[in-house]
Amino acid sequence: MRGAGRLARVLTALALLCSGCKGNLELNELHIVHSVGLDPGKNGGVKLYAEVAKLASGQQQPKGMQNRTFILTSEGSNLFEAARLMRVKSDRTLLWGQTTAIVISKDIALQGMERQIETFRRFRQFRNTTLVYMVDGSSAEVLKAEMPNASISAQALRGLAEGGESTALTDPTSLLDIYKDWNNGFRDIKIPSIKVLKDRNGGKGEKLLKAVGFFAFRGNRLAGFMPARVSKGYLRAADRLKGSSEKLACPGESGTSIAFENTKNDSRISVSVSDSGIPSVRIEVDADLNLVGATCEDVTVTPELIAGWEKRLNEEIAGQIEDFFSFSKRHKTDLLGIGERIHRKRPKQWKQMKDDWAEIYPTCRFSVIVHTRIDHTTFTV
Amino acid sequence: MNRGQTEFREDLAVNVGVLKELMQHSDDLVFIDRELSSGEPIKIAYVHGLTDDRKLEYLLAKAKEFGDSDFPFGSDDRLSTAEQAADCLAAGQAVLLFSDPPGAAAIDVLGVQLRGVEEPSSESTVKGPRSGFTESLTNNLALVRYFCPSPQLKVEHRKIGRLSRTNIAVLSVAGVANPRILEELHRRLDEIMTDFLLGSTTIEEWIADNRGTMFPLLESTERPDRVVGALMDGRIAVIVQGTPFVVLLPFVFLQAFQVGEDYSWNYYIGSMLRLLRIFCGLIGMLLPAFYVATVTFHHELVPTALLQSIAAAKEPVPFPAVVESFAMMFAFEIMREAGVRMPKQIGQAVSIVGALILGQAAVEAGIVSPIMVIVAALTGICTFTLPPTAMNYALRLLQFGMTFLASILGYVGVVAGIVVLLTYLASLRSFGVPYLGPAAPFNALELTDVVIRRPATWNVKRPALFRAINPYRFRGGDK
Repeated sequence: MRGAGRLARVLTALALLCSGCKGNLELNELHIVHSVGLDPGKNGGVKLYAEVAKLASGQQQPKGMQNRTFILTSEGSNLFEAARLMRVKSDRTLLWGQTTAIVISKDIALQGMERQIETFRRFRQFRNTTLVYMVDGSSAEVLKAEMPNASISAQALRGLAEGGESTALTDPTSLLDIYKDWNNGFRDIKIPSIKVLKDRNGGKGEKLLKAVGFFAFRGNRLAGFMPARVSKGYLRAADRLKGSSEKLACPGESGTSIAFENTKNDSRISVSVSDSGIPSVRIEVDADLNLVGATCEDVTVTPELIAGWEKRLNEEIAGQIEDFFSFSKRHKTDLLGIGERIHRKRPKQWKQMKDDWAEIYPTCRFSVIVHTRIDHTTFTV
Repeated sequence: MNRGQTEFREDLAVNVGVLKELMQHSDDLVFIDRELSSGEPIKIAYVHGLTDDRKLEYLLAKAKEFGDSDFPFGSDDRLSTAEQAADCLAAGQAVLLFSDPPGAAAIDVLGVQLRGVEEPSSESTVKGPRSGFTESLTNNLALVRYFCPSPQLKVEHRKIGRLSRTNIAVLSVAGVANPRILEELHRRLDEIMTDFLLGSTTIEEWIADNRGTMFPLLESTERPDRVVGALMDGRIAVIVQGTPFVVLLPFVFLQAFQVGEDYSWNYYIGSMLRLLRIFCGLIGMLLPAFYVATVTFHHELVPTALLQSIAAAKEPVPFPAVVESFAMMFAFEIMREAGVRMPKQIGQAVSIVGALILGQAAVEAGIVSPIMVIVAALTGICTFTLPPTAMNYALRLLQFGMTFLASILGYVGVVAGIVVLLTYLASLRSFGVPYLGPAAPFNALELTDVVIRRPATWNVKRPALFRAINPYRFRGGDK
């Protein structure tokens, strides 16, 4: 027994000596990659960009996330090769595990996203929570852009994603969200879009970032871009909208409006299939709003007026969702997972439908019912 | 009569000669001639400086009024041999030598200048009793009896040390403390073969279940209230002459995070303080290890903004994180030790110099990163929240081991270290009581009064851990 104990101790010590220390890297031997950009390269390859934060020199106070950044670039026949080749341009090992956002060029998506997503899945360094964005143009432009108070663009991208909670113009989408939808096949995926704008006020040609809308996919292929109104309709229908603003025109006036803050949005989707095999989708939405501003000439809030506003808001919200449905039918992209709902509810009928689902989906009958309630007017009646 | 013992003779001069011989002809040995009321000549012997002047003067003045068996002070034991008389003289008693019949008697006139009862500096409290033990065994016993005036409090005197013949007292509450543990304690005390007992730590080392461990298997305290609390739990106390530290046994690991003051506060506050101390103990042992493991192996686990700050701060530092960590921990230990040994008047200067050199200057020179200074300072401060027992030192030593493991294998090393440590702790016993109890073996009910502090009204039972023979503190209707 004593001999076994000694042997165990010797083996443990040997294991430590043989395997220990090899995986360690001091922080001043590393470059922390904050965001990654992906553009198409030559001959079907990919061009990879990595945004790395500069670290303050010895005598300066650490600046944390306010450091300036530099961009490393490399190109390879695939993502892995490009990432490896980037090391030849870097004096330090690259730490990919802290990547906050991945920006993918639309041109890459047009070539088919599956390969790239698959490669990201195999990179164990990336966090599942890494945000994914798409840009119509070069991803390098996004990484080089500077927001007024975020010199690291990855921070700006994270901040913009969080802003979607109040604008309903974007929705944080992580690598895990994409893997999940891709693997399960329950619904088509969407990736938030980012745009690079010139800062008119800056006057130095500085570029700003703006998150607006989504790129929708049909399977592996890019289906199309969802503009602001369609994106809002999608988020409402998918029950992912947390807050937004709505406005109604003042009756009989031009240039004036009544503004509302949408504080709550609940939606319920029910699916049925007719005997002839035509699916019907019914979406019910409950929305709570508050009056936040009215520039009309004469606003005396009365119960009748509120009822009128609610009716007009019902129409406006239903219109947003219907716009999304038109987009969805036109591009045959099942972002709400209607097919999966039929699969679960009517498995036998789904068996007959699933092969032709891409053709059947545009024939779906959609109906939208909205129940709007204006909670607060903040005006004394 | 034991072999090698010298009986008293009728001739006092012979007896004086024998005593002088036994006391190595010490110059501080004093003999004074007196007569009893019967006219019988006697000799009074004592060691100069060990006696209380007032008691001695009283004895000398009144000696001639006493009869043969009439002694004014506590000890009326007749001494039959010169060796016994020599022991009494060395212990500060006065010895009266008689010629008819030949014999001697010892009278307690001990009077050494000792400090009074003060608040123990190592266990100070904000709320609660402030008395602390002193170096006097008699005073310490009186303090315990004062805090616990129960006739069931049992005191057993012993002498340990072949040369030092140090008085010790074993305290237990009859009907509560387990007699088997008490018996085992006496058996272990019998086995002590030392010639000289230097304080309570020597006893601890002799009677502990495992003499090779750095974890304390017995508790030591300077507070009588803590001793009484322990006795009421069914534990046993050992008071040693010449030290204010009283040994309590058995002792379990989680008790190291308890202080007597917990019971002086409301149980919510007491529980919070106890949890805070456990948390600080963990930080004190593991924070440098986690820091080293994180910044050298597991960079992905740190939030990006924090890692960026750490990386920026560490950029100019030329040493690996583990070297930086060891240097700071070592420097902190030096500062702490210097602070303890340094005269109080210059202690403040040391702390200022230490703070400047170790903190600001080292950071500005790029020797260590500011984050490492924060880690070392937080670790050091956390260890100060624990009572200053041997456990505190053990945890501080473990810092180094854990940090070393972290530098080799990252979190895997730290977890391996924790597993080995827990396994080792689980193997320890204190007078047969599992050292990790009541966590292992698990006893949820008792654990609640160790990890947190239960209201006194809920403590119907004594901790089963200490195997008290009367398990109940009170029952319904008892007063």
